[in-house]
Amino acid sequence: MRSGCLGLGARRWLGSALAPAGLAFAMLTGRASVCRGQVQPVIELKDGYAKTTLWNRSTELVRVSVELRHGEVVDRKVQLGSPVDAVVSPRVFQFGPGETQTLRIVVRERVEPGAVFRLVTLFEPVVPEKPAEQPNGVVTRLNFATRYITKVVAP
Amino acid sequence: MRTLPRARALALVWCAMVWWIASGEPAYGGTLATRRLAQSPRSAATAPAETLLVEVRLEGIGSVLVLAESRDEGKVLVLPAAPIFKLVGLREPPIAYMTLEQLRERLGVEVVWQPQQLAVILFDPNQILPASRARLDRLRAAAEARSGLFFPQGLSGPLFGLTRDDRGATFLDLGYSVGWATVRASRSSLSGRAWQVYVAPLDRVQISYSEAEPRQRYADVRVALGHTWAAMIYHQPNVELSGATVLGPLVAFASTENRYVFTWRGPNRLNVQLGHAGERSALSVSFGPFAPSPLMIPGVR
Repeated sequence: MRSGCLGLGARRWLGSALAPAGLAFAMLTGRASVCRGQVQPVIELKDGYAKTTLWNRSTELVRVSVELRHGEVVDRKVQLGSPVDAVVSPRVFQFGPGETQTLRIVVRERVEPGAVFRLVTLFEPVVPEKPAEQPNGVVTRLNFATRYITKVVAP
Repeated sequence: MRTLPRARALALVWCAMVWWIASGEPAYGGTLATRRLAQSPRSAATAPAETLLVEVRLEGIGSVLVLAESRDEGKVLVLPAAPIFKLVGLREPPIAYMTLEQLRERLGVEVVWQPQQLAVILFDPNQILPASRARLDRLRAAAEARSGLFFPQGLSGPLFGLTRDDRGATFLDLGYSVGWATVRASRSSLSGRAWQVYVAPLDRVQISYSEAEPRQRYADVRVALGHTWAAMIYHQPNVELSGATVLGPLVAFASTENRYVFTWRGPNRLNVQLGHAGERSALSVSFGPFAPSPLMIPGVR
């Protein structure tokens, strides 16, 4: 005898169909923060020293973490390797909307001419611990972190 | 003899060991390590320091890149003092590391920390620091050299001058300059004939020679090397060697004619000179915007 309820298979099907729809709905109606940081695509390393500028093009406070890694391109994809023995300054910081931050790098290990390192820069929104009050008491927030992998090249 | 049960005996021994360790000063590795950590500025109680590559810049002079430490979540910046002291022209610092506040007190100039630029800027508008003063001296020297006061470099062409006064005396001046060399000849109806040659083959070398009818021959060679200046002056029949050098706030000048002067340029436009010429020595203390020449022997005139 069939009851008015949905069967297990139908429920699974409905769930799999509604989950992406709900996600899309939440993206459209809820708060979504996208970090728009800006990094120079290629930075030149002279005598083991490099200097560049990072920009916060978003409208939110952004937390940034930076690291320098070895890397190589395999099948047109960058594969990150071990961290480079280097001083990256600052490694972790926060900056507000429209602000810039100078980044300095001193590589301690020997650098061969033509060497290419990968600067991995992660931009994350700084999420407030207490979300803003909503009339219905429901808060949906999607946070997108942006990671750039750029080149640090020794000429 | 009464014997204690084994469990009670072990418990007693255990308690005695705990008391011994807790109250005494045993050679206990854990205790020592804990003490060292507690004495370290990077103990667990404080926030971990972050290493920053900071550019320390003295406006108009230059800059130096140092490894600094940001402590207490960026509230305190600790910088190595030696490269900064070298940049501003001072000798060994009293301590190896300094905070921004200590730098301000020690140098007496404005120190501005710009964390977003990772830069510390030193402003010295009153030329307190030796490096600022040396730069000012170089600018003055360059300005004097370019003014054509002694050697009209950069100017070329013939020169002519004729002067006549109400007594009927005349003075005729003729010459030619090619920029790095000048030849002049003059004839005065009162003092006779004279001629001079000025040559500046290099920026740092100047040579002159002159002859005049009532006076003796005169020649000099002047050489400037960094903060040191030397001259050889031939005034027939004597030869005089003299030189001056800048050592931080101290300027020393000496001559083979038994003349010397030490000039100390102190803070707030204070100048102290100790000089000697012939058989006379003098000490001079002055204050004000017009600093005394470090080549002039102080004395009561």
